Amino acid sequence: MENEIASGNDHTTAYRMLLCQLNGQKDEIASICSSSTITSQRGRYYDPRKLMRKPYDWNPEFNWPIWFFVERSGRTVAVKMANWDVVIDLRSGRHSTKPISYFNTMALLYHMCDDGTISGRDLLFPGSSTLLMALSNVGSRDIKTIELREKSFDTRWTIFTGADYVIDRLKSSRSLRKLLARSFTVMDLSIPDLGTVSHKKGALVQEQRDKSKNEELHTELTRAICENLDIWRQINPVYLNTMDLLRLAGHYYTTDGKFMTSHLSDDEMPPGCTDDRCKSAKHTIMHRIFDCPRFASQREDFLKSVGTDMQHLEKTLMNYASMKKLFTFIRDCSN
Amino acid sequence: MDLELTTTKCKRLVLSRGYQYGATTTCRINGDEVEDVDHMSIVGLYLSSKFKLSQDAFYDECNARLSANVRILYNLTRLNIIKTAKEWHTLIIWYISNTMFSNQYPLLAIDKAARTACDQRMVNSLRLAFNWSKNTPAKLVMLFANCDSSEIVVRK
Repeated sequence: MENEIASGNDHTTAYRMLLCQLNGQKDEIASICSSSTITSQRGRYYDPRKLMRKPYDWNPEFNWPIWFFVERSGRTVAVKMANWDVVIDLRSGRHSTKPISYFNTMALLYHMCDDGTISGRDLLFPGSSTLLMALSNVGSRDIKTIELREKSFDTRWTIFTGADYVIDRLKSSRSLRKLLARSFTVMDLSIPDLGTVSHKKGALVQEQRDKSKNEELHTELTRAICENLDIWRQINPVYLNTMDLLRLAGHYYTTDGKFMTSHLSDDEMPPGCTDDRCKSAKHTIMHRIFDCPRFASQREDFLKSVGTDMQHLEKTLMNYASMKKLFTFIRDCSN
Repeated sequence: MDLELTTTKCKRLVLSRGYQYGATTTCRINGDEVEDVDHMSIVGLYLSSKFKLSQDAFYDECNARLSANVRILYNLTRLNIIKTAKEWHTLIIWYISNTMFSNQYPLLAIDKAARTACDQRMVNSLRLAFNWSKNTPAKLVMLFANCDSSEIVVRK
């Protein structure tokens, strides 16, 4: 019964067994033992025999080899160092689905617990380490943390804590900095399984909804010039003035000072056009930019100056000079 | 601690969307009736009895908190020292989005009108910061400032 409680599968079942024992109901105990809950592999509670003891303080006078973590963006490096400047071993890893510092370090420690080739199992954490706090938290119900704590207990890791200046001194060692500057293999670690996105369908629908919401930011003209919103977003907003934005939205001033919108009703001729071919136009500025024969020479000059064609106008948005030429061309077309 | 409640410093806010339970009952401390209010601010978080954003209070608070930040962005625009859209995006998040949304997440999550008010305030602030006139289209302001709508921000 102690084993059942310690295995953490189900305390309620274990206490029911205890009650049956006290009541002398031995047949009942047998039926409880064969229940599926008790034979479940995964525990819901921690094993009280495998709690982490208070970490030892790492004294600056100690010089035996010790492991510690260096958390970098996108990866965590585990370093085994002796005598403050001698790097003996090095492992680097990141979590395959959530590569943030916390999970990178957790995944690397999982890996190190399973790795039989590792020698020396003293591990130094800064006193303020979030992972250490999580591992020491006996009230934690997080299965990943509980498993890691029990795994480190089983593989006999000894945990030390050091003051920040001690950790900084280790991290700033010249040999370590040299090694970290070089490129080396980073393991993609899938354990612990974080059980990401349990509602995949819902997440997909939401993603589509956000995407269509973003699409609403387009005007007819911006969509015609470049459909990719990310390219528009790379434009420094300081380079745009009110008039540029109004023109992109299809508004323009006529020569007699009227503020007009580009939208045309059926069979309405764009202002200033006399050619029958212009009758099919639905948007004045777009028509002038892309089709209108009256603006053919300006169009040709513009395309020659930016070195592209009307089907690849997105290229003009990628640098300041060609973007200015595009906006000048749009301004010319709306006058 | 053996602290006593001071009735004059206590106020009661009944949170309800339907039947007003508070209207039929009174609350007393040491025989003194506690004053009923329809809104209060708890550590900066504005709460109303209807669980809705009070737009007047919201705009007042926004004006107080945002005006200095918008002024900073406006000065940066005039100085023309920020050279990339990415840097502007970071500054806008820091000075406008975070300032405006940080205390409002609970209300924004449940109140669509509050989200619309936030988006409107955001667009107005950006127009001021970039010296764009009031008739510049809101969607282009959001596009070039690379800002997400409050609905997306709250969900994230």
